[in-house]
Amino acid sequence: MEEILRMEHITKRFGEFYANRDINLSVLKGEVHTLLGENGAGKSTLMNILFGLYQPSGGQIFLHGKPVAIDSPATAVKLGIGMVHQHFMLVEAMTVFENIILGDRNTKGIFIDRNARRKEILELSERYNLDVELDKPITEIAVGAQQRVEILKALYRGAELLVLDEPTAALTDIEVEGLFRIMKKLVGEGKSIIFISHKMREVMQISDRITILRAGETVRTVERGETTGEELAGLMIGRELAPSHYAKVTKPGAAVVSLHDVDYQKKSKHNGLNGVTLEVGRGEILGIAGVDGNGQSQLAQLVTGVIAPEGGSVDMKGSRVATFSPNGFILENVSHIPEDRNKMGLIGNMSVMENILLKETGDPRFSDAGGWHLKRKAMRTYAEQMQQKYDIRCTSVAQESRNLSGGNQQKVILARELENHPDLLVAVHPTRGLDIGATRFVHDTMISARDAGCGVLLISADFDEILEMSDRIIVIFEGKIMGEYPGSNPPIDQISLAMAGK
Amino acid sequence: MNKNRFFSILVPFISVLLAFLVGCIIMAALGANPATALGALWKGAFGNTRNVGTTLSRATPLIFTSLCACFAYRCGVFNLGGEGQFLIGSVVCCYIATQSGIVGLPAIILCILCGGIAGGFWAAIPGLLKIYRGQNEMIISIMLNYVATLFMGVIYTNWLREGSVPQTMSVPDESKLSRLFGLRCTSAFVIAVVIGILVYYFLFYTSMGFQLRAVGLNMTASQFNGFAVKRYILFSFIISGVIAGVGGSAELLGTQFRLINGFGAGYGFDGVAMALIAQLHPLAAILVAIFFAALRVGSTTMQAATGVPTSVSEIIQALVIVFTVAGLAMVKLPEFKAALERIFSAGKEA
Amino acid sequence: MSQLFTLSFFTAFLAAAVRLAVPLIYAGLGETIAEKAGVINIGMEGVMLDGAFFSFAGAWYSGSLAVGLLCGIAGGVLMSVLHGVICIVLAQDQTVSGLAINMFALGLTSFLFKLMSQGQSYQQVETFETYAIPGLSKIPLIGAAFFEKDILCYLLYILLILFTIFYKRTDLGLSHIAVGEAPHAAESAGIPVHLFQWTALLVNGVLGGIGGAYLVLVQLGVFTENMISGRGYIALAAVILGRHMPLGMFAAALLFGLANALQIRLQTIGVSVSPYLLAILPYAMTLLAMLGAAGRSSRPESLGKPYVRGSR
Repeated sequence: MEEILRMEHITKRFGEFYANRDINLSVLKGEVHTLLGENGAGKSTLMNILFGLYQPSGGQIFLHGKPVAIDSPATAVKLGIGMVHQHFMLVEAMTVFENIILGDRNTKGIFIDRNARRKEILELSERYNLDVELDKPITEIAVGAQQRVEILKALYRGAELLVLDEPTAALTDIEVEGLFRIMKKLVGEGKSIIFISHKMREVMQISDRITILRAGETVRTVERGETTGEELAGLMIGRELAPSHYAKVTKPGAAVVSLHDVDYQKKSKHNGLNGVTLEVGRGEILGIAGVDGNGQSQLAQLVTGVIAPEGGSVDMKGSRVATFSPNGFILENVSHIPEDRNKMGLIGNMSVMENILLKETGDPRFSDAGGWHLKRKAMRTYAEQMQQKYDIRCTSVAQESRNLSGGNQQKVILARELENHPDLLVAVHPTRGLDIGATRFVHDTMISARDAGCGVLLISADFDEILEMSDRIIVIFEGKIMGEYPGSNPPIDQISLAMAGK
Repeated sequence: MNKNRFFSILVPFISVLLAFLVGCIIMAALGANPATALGALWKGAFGNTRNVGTTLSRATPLIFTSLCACFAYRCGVFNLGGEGQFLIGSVVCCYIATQSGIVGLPAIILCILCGGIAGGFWAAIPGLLKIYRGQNEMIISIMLNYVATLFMGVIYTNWLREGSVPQTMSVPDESKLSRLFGLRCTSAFVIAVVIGILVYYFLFYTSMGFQLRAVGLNMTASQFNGFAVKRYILFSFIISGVIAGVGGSAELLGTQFRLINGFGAGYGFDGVAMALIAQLHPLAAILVAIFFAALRVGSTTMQAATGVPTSVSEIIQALVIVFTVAGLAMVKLPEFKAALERIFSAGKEA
Repeated sequence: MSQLFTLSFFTAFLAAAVRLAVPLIYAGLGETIAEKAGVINIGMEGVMLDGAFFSFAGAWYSGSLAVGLLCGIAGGVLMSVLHGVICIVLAQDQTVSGLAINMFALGLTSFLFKLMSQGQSYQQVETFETYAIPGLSKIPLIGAAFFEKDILCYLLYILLILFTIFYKRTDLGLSHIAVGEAPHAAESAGIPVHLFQWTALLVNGVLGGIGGAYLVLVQLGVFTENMISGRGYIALAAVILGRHMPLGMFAAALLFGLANALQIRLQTIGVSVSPYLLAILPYAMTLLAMLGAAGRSSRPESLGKPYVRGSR
């Protein structure tokens, strides 16, 4: 079969750090080629180079055997490369139709010929079974539909090679099946697909060939028929999978927080809560499983006081919460590892020390006269202790936190949130984007907090994390609770179905 | 020393040097000897104690307005209304000083207090509009500058006018601020420096100041960590307005004694520029304000001695601002940073 | 008071309003275009001031209005390019850059003007003539106000219509809006974000420059230091009040013109109120209008955020 893309010796350096080192990749016409690798293995960097968002520090890209220089996404589009990013690149203020035609220059005249273009799009959407409602605003369609818009967008621009960056991460199982049907149809018509994933089951189901990346380097390219999921996992991680099994707690203590029939924007499928009742006891980890964007963010913000419920009630340690404010919840000894550490967790331009002590500066340990005189020395000493204890790797505690790696940033947050022995810890995607070592550290820390009597509400889209950590599991779908399951020997099939809304 | 801090000090200095270099070229082009002209400039600003006094006196209102800007920007909001707050403060101060019949120290204290409150009130308007209506605080505060300027016009042409010239009556002699060592500069300068030190202490040595800076750097994270973001924003507006209002009062009682057309004109934006050059550091802002005042005071002597027009000094001031802003932007570029670090480490090894 | 309500009074009043509004509308249109592409230019005041000075200098030395206009445009573009370098190339805070530009323009123009005049006062340069459009200018009330104007004013009408169509009906306009709303999405759709932002800023400089030049070449014939005196900021307010659309901005600027014309009228007919108090009227009206308008609803989602390729 004809080779459509060859990337040779691609290297990308950021300062001293190699995100990609000497990577080779070859994609044939009409195949689904999977790029498999852990977070941080260099998949996204490689694809950003292919799409012209980054310039490689070394190496060469060939399309149809000819060397090409891709200096911008516009060039990539012109060369027939389409990319569906993990975070959709859609303009929310516009309609589906406008998003699809956006930036496409293959037109006569300067005015938008709506009828002709609509016809073209409808033809494409019928040919590849990509149903979309052209006149709906992006904000009003579901995630799966938004993905179809992205694919249509790429096809409309004449993409021959389609990059799908973790396309299944935000989809339910049903939607994944639909996506796979579309992908088969596309390769059947002679398109090529680069599929990025780290979910073994999906990879084995859809790929023709698989290239494994590890720590920025190519490990190997294999045919699907000649390998097994276990072998791939081994190649991806570089060693045998040895999951640590934490002892599960079956009898939690008294409730720390309980929600009764709580509503928040309950009409919204993706950003609301509808009649949620749950409770977190002392000394247990309650895992909230579910596909991203089914109300998890709202649940987390509600039990940390950032937003207030529109219906129902919340009890904190047995007494009803009257006013919702982050500060009120902090005073109730609630800690929060927020979903976006840079935006919600850290003050990037402040030092590690200042971030560790963010909530504590008024404490008599760190200031005199009720906060009117900071004890700089005590602050520094304490921060250095925390740096040791939580193994935060930084040049000094005076280093700005935005310059730390994701894992170390998360450790700063752990030091701040766990050191005062909270009664409730709300952890949202606590290991997202972290490497294995940091993930293990975060998990261990959470377990020891639990064992010290802290109630933990773990919200994660990473199913494996939920299974590994949770003493109880609750599944959330479109803002509703679908069911509750034990954490030891959980019924995985039932939970998966519940996550898909059944 | 921390490299970031090193560059943030280096950049303004290099900007000043570059600005003077351009200034020298212009002077040469005008047929003057740059060395003589700069000498005259220096002499005019710092040549003798009398001139130093004049320079400090000119610097005083600029210190107030730049502290005003610093304080608000530290909380992440752009208060461009320093001038309006300065003027409203001076208007209220003028009214009390001339109409209340109180004189002497009680009058001074009352005037400055009320001037500060008036400034704080004026600054609360953009703060409230930002918080509750989501409006752009910059545009609102600028509009309020014009309103304040025109309102002051009503005062000196109409309500408190004295005689045929459009100006207010003078502050009674007993209520004027005392001069320091018989120089032009008054205790207003002392008030300005004390406020500067207080602002510095507040921002860097108190829990509230710490939280206020956190809000300025990342509002979302501050909210998640339990800080009352809106309250801090309003608070920072009001305090920054109070500082400007006190400045307006001090300027009236210390230097001008009456409101007149052009009173305080341009001080607001000067303050913003100086706060930016000082990179929002209150103590640095005091030095920057003195530097700019020196350029202004010295340029008169320079014009008299060498014929170089005072506007050359204005160009130098403008260039310092532009170079600093562009320079600070540049050192943040990754490529530029890498190059600097190479030079840096090479220098260390040598 | 009866003289307040005659037809000729209203005609003159409306004409004055339009006259006062035109420079604002030029600058406001330039700002609308920049903001649509996600770049806020607080330095509009500086752009206009530069336009005013260089148009005066150009017209004075060449004796030609056309040369003056071109110089004014070049002056405005100079400032917007500076803004672009700082906030597009260096990805720095747009507010700080805009403020710096205002100060730079004030220093530069005051200095050059002093250099030019060497103390002596300038005479006026001649100004653009007005041409009444046959037919339209005879419409009662609005005819004289809108259709007995100079060529730059007519150009403005055309530009307003063209840009309205541009945003509502054309591909490029759609791309342009996408750049301000979601630059990452735009880039991935093959739209060169920085190119669009640069183009928008250049247009911003051209229109802001004309706005400043209009004051000199059409209305006053002279340059004075800091002569823009806040019009740049009022244009920014008009953009917000006009909900970031050209015609909305036009209406908002006209409203400001009306308020200003009203206070001038009241002064000339000798209302016994301090002229300073009357002069507060347009600003107070703008403030009240902004009090009523919701702030964020119409503003482009990524306004003021520097776009760096590959970042999130």
